[in-house]
Amino acid sequence: MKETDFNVGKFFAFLFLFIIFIFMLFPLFEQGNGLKIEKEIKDLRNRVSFAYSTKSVTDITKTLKESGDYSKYREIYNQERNDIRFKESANLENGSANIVTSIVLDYRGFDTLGELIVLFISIIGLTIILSNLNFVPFNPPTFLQKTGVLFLTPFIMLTSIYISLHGHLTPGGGFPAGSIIATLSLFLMIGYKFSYKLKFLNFIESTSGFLVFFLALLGLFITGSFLGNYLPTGIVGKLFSSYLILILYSLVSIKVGAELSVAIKTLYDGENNDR
Amino acid sequence: MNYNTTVLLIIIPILSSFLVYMPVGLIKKSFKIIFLATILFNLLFSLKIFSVVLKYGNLITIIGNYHPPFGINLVSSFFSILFLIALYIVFLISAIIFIFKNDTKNNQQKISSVLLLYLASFSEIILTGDLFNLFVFFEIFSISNIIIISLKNEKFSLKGSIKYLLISSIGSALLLFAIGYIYAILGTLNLAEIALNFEKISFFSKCFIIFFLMGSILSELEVFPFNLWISDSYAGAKNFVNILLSGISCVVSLYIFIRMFFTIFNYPSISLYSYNFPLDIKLLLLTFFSLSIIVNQLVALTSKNIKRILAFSSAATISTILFALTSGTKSGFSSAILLIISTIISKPLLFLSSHQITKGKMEKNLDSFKNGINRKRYFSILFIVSAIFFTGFPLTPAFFGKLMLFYTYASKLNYYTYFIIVIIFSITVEFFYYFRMIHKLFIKDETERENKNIKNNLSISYFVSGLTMISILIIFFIFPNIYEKVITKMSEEIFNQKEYIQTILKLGEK
Repeated sequence: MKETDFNVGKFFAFLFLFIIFIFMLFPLFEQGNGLKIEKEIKDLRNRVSFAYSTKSVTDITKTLKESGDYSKYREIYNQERNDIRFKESANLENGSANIVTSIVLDYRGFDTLGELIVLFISIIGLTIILSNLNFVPFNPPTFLQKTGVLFLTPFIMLTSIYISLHGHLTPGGGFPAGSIIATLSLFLMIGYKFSYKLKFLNFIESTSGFLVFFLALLGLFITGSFLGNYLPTGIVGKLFSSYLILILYSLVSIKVGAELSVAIKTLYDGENNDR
Repeated sequence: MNYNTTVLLIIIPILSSFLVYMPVGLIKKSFKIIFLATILFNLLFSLKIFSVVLKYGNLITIIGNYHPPFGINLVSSFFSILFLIALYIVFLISAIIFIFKNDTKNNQQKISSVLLLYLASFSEIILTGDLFNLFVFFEIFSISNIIIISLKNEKFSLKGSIKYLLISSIGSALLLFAIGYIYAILGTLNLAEIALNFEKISFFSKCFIIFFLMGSILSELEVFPFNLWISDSYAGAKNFVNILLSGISCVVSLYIFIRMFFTIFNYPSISLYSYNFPLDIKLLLLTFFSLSIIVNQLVALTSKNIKRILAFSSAATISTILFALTSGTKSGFSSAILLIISTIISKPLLFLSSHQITKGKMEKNLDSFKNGINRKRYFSILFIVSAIFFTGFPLTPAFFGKLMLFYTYASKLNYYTYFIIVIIFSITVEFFYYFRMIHKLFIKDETERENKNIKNNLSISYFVSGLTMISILIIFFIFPNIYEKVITKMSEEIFNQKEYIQTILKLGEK
């Protein structure tokens, strides 16, 4: 038996996983006296995110600051607030009509920037592990591949631009748009044998990533807090509104597109074949 | 000073990691300078923040101009900043070794980018005051661990990194599950607000959350059933990676454990069991960690590979620290901090010196230590001194830590006291295999061919980093009262849940 073959360990690992599984089932059988928070927890008014949906975090924080206790926000959620009207309300704390985008890139923007790094570091890991490998070249493209790509390319390009620019209005945004751009690069590679340099992609990737963080950092020097909004927010629902989110999402889509294209190119050709 | 600038500790490494990654001629020449300058910036800036914290108490950093609980926030306290400074020093040492070694020529730019993200991620994990933010950066932390383990591109290292990938992705899933559960029942992700409301939820939910959070960091903590990755990944990894894994990765997870269990969940109060669910969490955890200590020490005792011995002994120490923390008392906490200090300083030194002693040998097993005192005198002495510090000779931090551990469990006699047997067993075994290794250094190697052509180059980076760490060890040895006040202040902070909540949520009650 080798030193690393540790079957007793495997047994214990399975045992532990089994215990955890049993444990996972316990909350299902909880009898009544479980959740002792005062109000109905299903009501959105008991969650922090209610303030996000009404774009009233700044107002609520002002009220809370006077009382000196930030934990009692649930009590003032019922107060009346100005309605937000599509294409009418202007200069709100963020001008994104899409609530999800306002949470993803404004209220909890730091998490999203973290996710950007998760993607970045995964692709670096991929290229490091796959470096020094030689790949077998693919067959030349057939007629069907060429024609299909020729037909689909403009539509895909249009969709990606639309999705990345409309991130603050409709579902979508930087990440899906980036994936669509990467699909485009895959198509070009299959259909045209179109070869682009990895170095070029790496440059785009790192520059756009740098710019995203740099623009977010500017908020620290202009508004006094990282990711603070220092550009006008405009009228809710117009294409040119909430300018910071618009710029950040466009950069994110470029970055994600370049990153996923690097992954595709590395898996398709290998790093050594980079000409 | 604007308190919101604390975020620079995270953003500057990220920005320079993007900069370092750029394939431009100018950066190819100067990336080493950017890399080292960033680490130095972080070290100096954290010292600056530390001085501010000493003056004014806990600092809160707001992100996006949204005050918590609405926005994400960072909390810099005495404990967290001091932890960061210690980790930055270890990181600087391994970075110096990495930069001046030059054996990863093609990928050095990419690897330094990964290392900078590693730096940013653990800074964020330690400073954050938001649970989901912790999850995101914990993910980055695990991925960078996977990458740096696999750097050697050999069978062992790839195997180790795949094992780590599997275990840590299970851990991440568990963590996400726990976060979802917390958000479902409490409606918030802010750590201070969770701490405020945690008492109100039922015992079932508490156990659920605690076990899932626990499960997510167990693989980094190298606790027994989840530590099967370390046998391959330590043995297959590069030297600077060993230093990072043993000196930083597990210590960061320990920080998460301490912050979560003590400040947020108020662990000592929840160890009581209720009528409808008879489970003694303390007993369960103690059994679990004792099992881990025994298995790790036995594996370390029976292993032949030097790095594997050191890896499993490090895992056993982490389990001992967890064992001390499980007591939930101030003395247990002080004992854990002393053991953490000992681990942070002496474990990297053990890895560094053993790597140098076995350099040039085909198999890095116990026999390659033979005649070490004549071949590599400087590093043999470093090894002996650090082994003495690590095993806990009198008047070293580890000695006081183990003494405190005995005091914690024996001062009040109950059935937890029986667990001390495990610690005695562990100390005995540890002494045995460390002195077996030291003994090998003095044995003459008969099979060694006299080959005087090989130049005995003493690499300056290794020399300097070894010297730095040994001088820190000796300072700790001569002035043991340095850490006395620090530990008292730390334990006051960690057990003071009320002050943590006040800093973030209740400004009026000061």
